[in-house]
Amino acid sequence: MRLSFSVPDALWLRAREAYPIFGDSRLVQVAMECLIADSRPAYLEGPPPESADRLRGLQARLSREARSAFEMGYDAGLELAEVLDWRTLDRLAAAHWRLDDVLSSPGSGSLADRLGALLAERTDEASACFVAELERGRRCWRDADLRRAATFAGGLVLALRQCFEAGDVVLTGDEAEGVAIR
Amino acid sequence: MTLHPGSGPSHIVQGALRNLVERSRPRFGRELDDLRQQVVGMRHSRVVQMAQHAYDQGYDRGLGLCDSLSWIALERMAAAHWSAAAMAADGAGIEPRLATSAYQSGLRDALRDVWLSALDSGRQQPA
Repeated sequence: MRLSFSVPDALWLRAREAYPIFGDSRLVQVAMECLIADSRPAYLEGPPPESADRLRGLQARLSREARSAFEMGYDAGLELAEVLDWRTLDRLAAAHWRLDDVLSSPGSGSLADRLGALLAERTDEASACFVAELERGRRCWRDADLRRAATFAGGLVLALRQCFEAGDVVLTGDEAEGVAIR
Repeated sequence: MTLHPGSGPSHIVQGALRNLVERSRPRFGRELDDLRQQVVGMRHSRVVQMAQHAYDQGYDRGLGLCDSLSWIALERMAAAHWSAAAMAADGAGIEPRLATSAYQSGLRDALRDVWLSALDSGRQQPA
């Protein structure tokens, strides 16, 4: 991995004096390795043994909630596939179904509008969280983060993708006729 | 464990270089005799026990919080890399008197472990 960073001259010179034998990259790598080693706690991390049952119970409940959020997203995706135009679907496919890439690109207003209208009536927490991110994105896309509603968004995109991939797209003889999906 | 979550590369590299320079300082220390080594060992053991207790307390508190948190709330915290601000926003703030680094780590690890275990169980289910 390549990174760029800045370091005050005085700090860099002090580090260089202390470790003159390393090249620049190696010096930074050694510094990072030492930082990690020095930060490692002396105590044991992870669940105390008596927590196993509580963890299992929480896992079961939250898995159910996650599945429910995913299914709500999937259902929303099926509804969206009913009304979305071909051009937007094609853009999503071209963006490898990265919803945030498409929503953050210029001219994505119609997709955000469709999604907003579709989900406006829903009162569940998963839909509300997704709509809240859409609203943030309308003001300034940098403030939105679809990872906050990743499970719902994952279901929504899967439904769109399955609808898209279920039909082979063929151009009819006269391209002016448009595009048919069979 | 997450080191310096949310910091940029410059901040992390500068911290690492400072740590490296600090390590290289001469300490002018004598070799520890057996007695002192033993005392240091005992003090270290005491400190580790206290840290372990604080970590386990934090972990226990994290599991307790999970009882009242929804999947959506956990997902929001995960998106913010379990930052203190994101956790506080969803009601998982830490009382100031308990806010040691070990307690914070325990609380964060509990929330993250629960989130990861639910995520893993979703991966194991057939599509």
